[in-house]
Amino acid sequence: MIEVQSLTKIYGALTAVHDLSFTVAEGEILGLLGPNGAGKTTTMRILAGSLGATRGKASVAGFEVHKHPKEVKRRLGYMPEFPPLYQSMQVEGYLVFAAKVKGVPRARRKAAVERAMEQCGLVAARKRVIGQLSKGYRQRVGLAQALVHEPKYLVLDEPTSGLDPMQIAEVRSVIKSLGGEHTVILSTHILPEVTMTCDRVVIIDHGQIVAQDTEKSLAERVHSARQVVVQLARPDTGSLAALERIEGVLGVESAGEDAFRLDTGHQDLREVIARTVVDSGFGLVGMREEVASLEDIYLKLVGMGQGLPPGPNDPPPPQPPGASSAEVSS
Amino acid sequence: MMNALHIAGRELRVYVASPWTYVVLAAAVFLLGFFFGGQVAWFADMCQRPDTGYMGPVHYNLHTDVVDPFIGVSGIILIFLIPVLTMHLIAGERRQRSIELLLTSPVSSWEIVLGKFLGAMGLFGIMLALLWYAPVILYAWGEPDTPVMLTSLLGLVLVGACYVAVGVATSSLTENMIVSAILGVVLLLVVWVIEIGTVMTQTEWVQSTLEYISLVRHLESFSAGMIDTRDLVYLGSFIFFFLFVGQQRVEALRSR
Repeated sequence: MIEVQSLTKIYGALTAVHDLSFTVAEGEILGLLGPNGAGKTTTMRILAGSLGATRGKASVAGFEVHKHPKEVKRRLGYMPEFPPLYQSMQVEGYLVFAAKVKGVPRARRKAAVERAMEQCGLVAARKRVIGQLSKGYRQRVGLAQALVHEPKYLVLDEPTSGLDPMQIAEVRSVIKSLGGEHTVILSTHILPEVTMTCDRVVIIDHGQIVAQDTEKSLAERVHSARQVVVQLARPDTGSLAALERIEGVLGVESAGEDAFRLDTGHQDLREVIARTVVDSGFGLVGMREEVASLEDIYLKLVGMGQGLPPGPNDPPPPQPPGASSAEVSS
Repeated sequence: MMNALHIAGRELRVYVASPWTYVVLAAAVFLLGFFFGGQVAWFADMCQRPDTGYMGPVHYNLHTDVVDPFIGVSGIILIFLIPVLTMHLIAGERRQRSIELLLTSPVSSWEIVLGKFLGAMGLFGIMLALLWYAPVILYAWGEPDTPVMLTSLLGLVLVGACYVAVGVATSSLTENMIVSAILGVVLLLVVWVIEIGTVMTQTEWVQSTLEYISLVRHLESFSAGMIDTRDLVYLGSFIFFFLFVGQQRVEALRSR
């Protein structure tokens, strides 16, 4: 289990991480999501032991990083956003060295390097000099380095950044295959990545958690405040009142020229709304339901606009959120 | 400790693969070889002349007239060569961010610094081995005193160790390798200049203090064939102090 407890990191005047707490259960893949500068890398570096925390503690497998750095580092593989590579070394030589300093015993070293190269698709590139590799291959060497001592815990900082779509798919499948046996924290700002690989999401902004849950329940929470936007051809002064009279509609507000946003609570009232608008002769030209994808949740939480109903695991939301929508039908 | 050796081994392999290493080694072999050749030729010439001293016959000595000056000059030439060899040790790792591999591995900052130190010392050993012909010539045509030769060699190795320790420290202070090398050269020159300070002052206590902190003074007894505990303590503390600076800097990298 990875545990972060009221972690705070202050650089001079900048608070990079503020009172951050979360846990990752054994075998779980956690996605750490947030805009650039939200404190993801800082949090991960503290966990990996290459940066000290100002306050609070981080522990891995019951060992506090600060007090037992060696115990933690033996069990944890860390892949920084910029892989720590020696440009002049060959891939295999580099991984052998990484295995040595990570304490893989001599008898198992060769097999461990071989396995890491296989997992990351590096077997054919084993004799290549790292400085001459493409970005995608360097990223793979960085991942292999994190895996070479068979750690139970993995911290991966933007593992797919700079890769082409094929490589991204490969790296994702490697990460997915690590779940179950490995406990993984993965940071990214690519949203579909979280959807595809992670069991649970922690969204952070300005060094604080703004939401943490499974993607499904985050989406449900957004859905619990369903909204329908209708576009009318011939609205008149009575339109607003007419829409408000529809049974189940909790509120109506103007959503631009000739458009209204209807708050429908938990129910799907699209059929009723459509019939009412058509029957009243306002002329229905468009209708869409605002559906929350992870992107909406993310934008709501880290952007500006309306709020998300609070969930059981959330800290009080630091700032109001923004809305976005998806076309459904018209 | 094993980790320090792993790191030292990697450093040695990097040295072997780097063209810079060969430039520095060639410079060392050329400069020191040149000086040694000149000194030996001068010595041979002097020995063949009839005694011409005012005050009676002059006695030339292989140690005081060839070996000691050679080690003295090595001490100066190495001031410029060793910082070039050590500049990348930590600064280069920080620049290319590879240091994060070591910082996130179960390796202590002492092991990192010691590994770097030992790696550079390995290369320094290779540099000394390239000067194998110097003792061979002395033994072939002269009669050097073997114990004195050995303590002289020990003195030279310790000079190198002091310089490498300074190089490791200056390499840890900056991300810029050139700055690290210049800083190393300047620091070593200052250490060297202290020796000159001892003859510039008449004040007794200043003189004795400068003499005590002067690196050169602590090497003199080695070329005279003596191993003095006080000198060993001084040199050991010198090396330890600069490695400690490096260790503190590495530790600061992961806890700042």
